[in-house]
Amino acid sequence: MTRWLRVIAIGALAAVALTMIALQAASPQLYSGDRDATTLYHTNPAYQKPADPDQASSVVPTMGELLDIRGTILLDIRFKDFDLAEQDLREYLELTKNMDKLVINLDMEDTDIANFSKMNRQDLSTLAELVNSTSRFEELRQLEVRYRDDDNPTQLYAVVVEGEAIRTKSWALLNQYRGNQEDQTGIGQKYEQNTTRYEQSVDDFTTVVDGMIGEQADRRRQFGNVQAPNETLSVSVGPGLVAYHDMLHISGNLSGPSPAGKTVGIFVDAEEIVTQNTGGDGRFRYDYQIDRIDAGNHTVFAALGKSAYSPGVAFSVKSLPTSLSLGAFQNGSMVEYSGALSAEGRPVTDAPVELIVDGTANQTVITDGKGTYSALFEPGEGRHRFSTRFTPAGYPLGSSESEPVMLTVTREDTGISSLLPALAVLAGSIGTAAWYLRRKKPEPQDDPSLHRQAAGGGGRFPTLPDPEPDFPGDAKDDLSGAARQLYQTLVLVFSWRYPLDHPSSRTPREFCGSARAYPFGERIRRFVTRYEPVRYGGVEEGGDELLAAYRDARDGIGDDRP
Amino acid sequence: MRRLLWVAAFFVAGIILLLSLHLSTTTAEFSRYNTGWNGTSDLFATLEERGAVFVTDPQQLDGVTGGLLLVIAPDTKFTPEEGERYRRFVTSGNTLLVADDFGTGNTLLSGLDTEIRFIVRNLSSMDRATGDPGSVIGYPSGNHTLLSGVGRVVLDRPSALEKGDPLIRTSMLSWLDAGGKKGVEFGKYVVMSEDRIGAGELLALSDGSVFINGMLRTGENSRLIENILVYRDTLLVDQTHSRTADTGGFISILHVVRGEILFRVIVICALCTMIAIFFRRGRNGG
Repeated sequence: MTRWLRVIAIGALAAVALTMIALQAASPQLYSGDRDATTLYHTNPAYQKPADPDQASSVVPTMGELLDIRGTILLDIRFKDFDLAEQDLREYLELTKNMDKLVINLDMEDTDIANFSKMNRQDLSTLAELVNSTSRFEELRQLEVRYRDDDNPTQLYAVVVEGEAIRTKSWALLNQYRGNQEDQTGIGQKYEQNTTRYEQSVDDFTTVVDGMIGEQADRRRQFGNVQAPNETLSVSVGPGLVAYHDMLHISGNLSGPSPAGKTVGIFVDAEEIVTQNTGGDGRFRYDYQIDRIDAGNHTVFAALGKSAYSPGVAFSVKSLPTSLSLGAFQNGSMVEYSGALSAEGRPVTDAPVELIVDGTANQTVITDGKGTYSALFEPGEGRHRFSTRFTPAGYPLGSSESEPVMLTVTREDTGISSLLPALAVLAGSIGTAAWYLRRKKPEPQDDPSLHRQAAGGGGRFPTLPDPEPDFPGDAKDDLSGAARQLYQTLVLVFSWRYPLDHPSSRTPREFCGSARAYPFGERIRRFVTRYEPVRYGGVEEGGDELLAAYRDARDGIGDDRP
Repeated sequence: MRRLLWVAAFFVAGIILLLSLHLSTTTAEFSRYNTGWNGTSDLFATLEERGAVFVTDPQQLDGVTGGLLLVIAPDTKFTPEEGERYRRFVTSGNTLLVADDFGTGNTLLSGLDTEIRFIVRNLSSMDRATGDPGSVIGYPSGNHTLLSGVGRVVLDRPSALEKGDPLIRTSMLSWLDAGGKKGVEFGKYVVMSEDRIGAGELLALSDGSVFINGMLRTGENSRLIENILVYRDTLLVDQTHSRTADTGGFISILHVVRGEILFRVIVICALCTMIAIFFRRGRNGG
């Protein structure tokens, strides 16, 4: 019967194993599919990450939008709607960002689309400058009327000089814009985009600049030749390209019958920045520190009262990126924050820095002569996100924002109440440790070998209570418990004289087995034969026989002291 | 004891069955016996259901009318004689569809009166189904019956085609690999084209992988395949040059046994003899 059961069990196991193999048998691959997801001939689509279908499909339409929006901006400029032009420029900027992202995400560097994207960025910059230039040119037109009414030839001359600079710059912008036309039209047409509006934008650009050139020529004819018959004023600047906190060296010369000691005004972008007296040879000089001035092209000229004007000379200010640091800590109920603003290692001085707390601008501090700032702020309790921001309006600098600092602001409390939680934790810890140590204290062992060790010296063995006087006379008493005492005593006595590991954990049968080799083994077996029914079988009689067997076995073992 | 023998025999039979099932498959690319993603077992199960004719000898093409012959992923060159036979097949009013991306199909095309050729370069695209640039998406560009209801087809490492009338093309954001992606030139590439030859029609598809198990249900590929299968009255499948006929090792023996009547008879006789011997011994042994 047992044999058949084994056969059936083995058969069932074999059947299960075969079933599991059968599930895979039709497939020649006994390993995961992704290990061979690509072969020389194809790639398993099941193990490929799905592509974002919107990305690739939006490339060409974005290109079309980029081509179109330039036409819109040029129309805004032609109709002198500069607010709308600014708005369209912002949209153009967003489209350009999207295109740049697509080029990066789709890994399209070194493609004609990446080339288109690059030229597009140039055109964005060109159109942004054109909007600024034409807007300023329009302002000059209004200033010209005002200065003419005021009969202010110096300012009129300033208008001429600045208008000249804008004309020159606009002409350069046009050439730059035209330079990309052929390539961008070609790429646009290759991708089946309508380039009509883009091509129209080039024509509109030309019209705008032609208009500025004509208007500036008229202005120059009317106001540009204001020179005293005997005095000639000239000015020069260096270097031609400067950055924040660089020195622009402006120098000039007045020639005429008596050039010494004359007061010459120096103008930057039509604004008089300083007056200088000419030396004995008619020369003058001024070092102008680049600070609050926009990045881009600017003009300088000098004027001797209303009698002589120098031709305008141009210089460029390049924009520098900035970096802003921030540290913050709680000081009482306030948060003290501080940091530094710099542009390529140059401290940015007297510049506004905004504190942003949890995304909201709260207060503005001004950097000191070292470009550092510090202030206090009371944010209220809780966890806050602090950062600072620099917005470079009027500076030839880029914007920047500090790394955020997370700070949990708590209520200041020096009273005893603030110590209570700590004291509670400490008390709890001590109590728990005490309870644990007490619990870990070792309990006295029942193992007779320990009894022996504990006794030591002359009293090596403890005195055992004799179980016999307490042995119950009849079954009404606890015969089972008493039998257990007899058994334990017997085991203990045995263990003193003979080797027996872990006597307290021996079962009666094991004890019996251990004693079998000794002459009294049979006596112990007889005791166990009577002990087991009483102890485990619920038998409530035979106490006398058990006691007799105990005595017999104990006599067999010998004296309880070796 | 005898019962035990029966149980043992049962398990041995089970093991033999599983083993033969396992060995009857293969991992060979495009193989009709390959049940993995890169095999064509699903396609061939359908072809068998529909009673397709498996062409193991080009002579089978003689006299066929109203048929479509599928040549999927050919891996051996076509001889001029074979080319002439295929040409006659097409000019007599049949359709030949050759799907290839390794260029071997060009040896077939050169035997036909067509200018269509496979460009033996990998085609990649930004317009793709997965992150792999080789999972190129093709879009129908003609009004052919085969393209009915097909919005887009997903290809798997295809090549491109030159000449012929385009039926399926990629989007503009596709390019042919030229030893790396530096300076790639985007453009639309033809991946399926047709050419009229005599009274018949040649269709070229620059990707044999469209027919593998892993691609059959990708995108709208199943619709294109279905259109191909029902395009003509008779469906023929080349098994002389196509990788779909690839077998290997034990599988080839199994298929010979399955395919040849003489072998079948011998094997059945051998099995009957073994069973008879087994019963005889059992009876004698008591």
